[in-house]
Amino acid sequence: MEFLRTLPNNLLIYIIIAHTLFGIGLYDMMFRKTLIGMLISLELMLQGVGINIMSFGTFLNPEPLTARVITLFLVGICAAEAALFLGIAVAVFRNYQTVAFDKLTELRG
Amino acid sequence: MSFETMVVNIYVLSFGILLIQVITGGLIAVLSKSLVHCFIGLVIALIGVAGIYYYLGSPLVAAMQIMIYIGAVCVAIAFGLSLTRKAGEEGLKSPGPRAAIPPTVTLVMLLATLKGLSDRGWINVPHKINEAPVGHMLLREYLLPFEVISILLTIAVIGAVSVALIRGRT
Repeated sequence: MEFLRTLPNNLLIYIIIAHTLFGIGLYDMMFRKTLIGMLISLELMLQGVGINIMSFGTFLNPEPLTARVITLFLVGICAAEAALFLGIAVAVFRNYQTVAFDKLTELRG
Repeated sequence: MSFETMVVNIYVLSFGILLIQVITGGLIAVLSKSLVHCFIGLVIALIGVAGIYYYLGSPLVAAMQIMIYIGAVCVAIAFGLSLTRKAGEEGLKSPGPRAAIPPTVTLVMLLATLKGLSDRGWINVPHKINEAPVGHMLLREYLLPFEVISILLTIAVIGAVSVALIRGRT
């Protein structure tokens, strides 16, 4: 019971949850068929990275504010990446009428 | 049961609920066939991650997570989803033996992290620190990355619009 009560102050639980999210995103990224599904799994993976940065910066860094700043930068970069990814997906759909990987084979040798 | 014990119990219980919410959202995002369900799973997981940021002692990052991800990125994904949806193309490929790669990679990463951590104890526990200096840090030590991020966001949005307007594959 005492262990459960200190659970929010345990670094390991944050590390495990971050790695689990990353693994889930990796699995999803490997087996989705469309570009949008790939973007969703990419967001999941980046969430895992964000939790990892925040937990290490909070527990191990004597200056915990640095982790906050870096996580804010990470969130900003994710937003830019999502905007660009969606633009590319819409352009691909306009030109090829599909966003499935298996059918986008124009560059295949 | 005294009032303090009850408050602590509720605190820990809601932390457990958040963990379950994150994992459940991720599993919905992976296992559902329809991309809309997948998107809803992503939203559930993102809200849970915001709660985890709160438990890590940072209401600022939790609020940013809610505003930027749920408010901006998820809306953009929803529109992209509805613009590029086509029947019969969703779902997962049949995994086959390659399904063992992600758990293996994750497990190796986790073990390497734990091994790196084994000889050092943690020095802080999350608590409510004063986050007001983050604004000063963004405008003093981290001024250059801050400006670069703003330029990057502008370029990304302009680039996304101009890429989405490309037409005319002959």
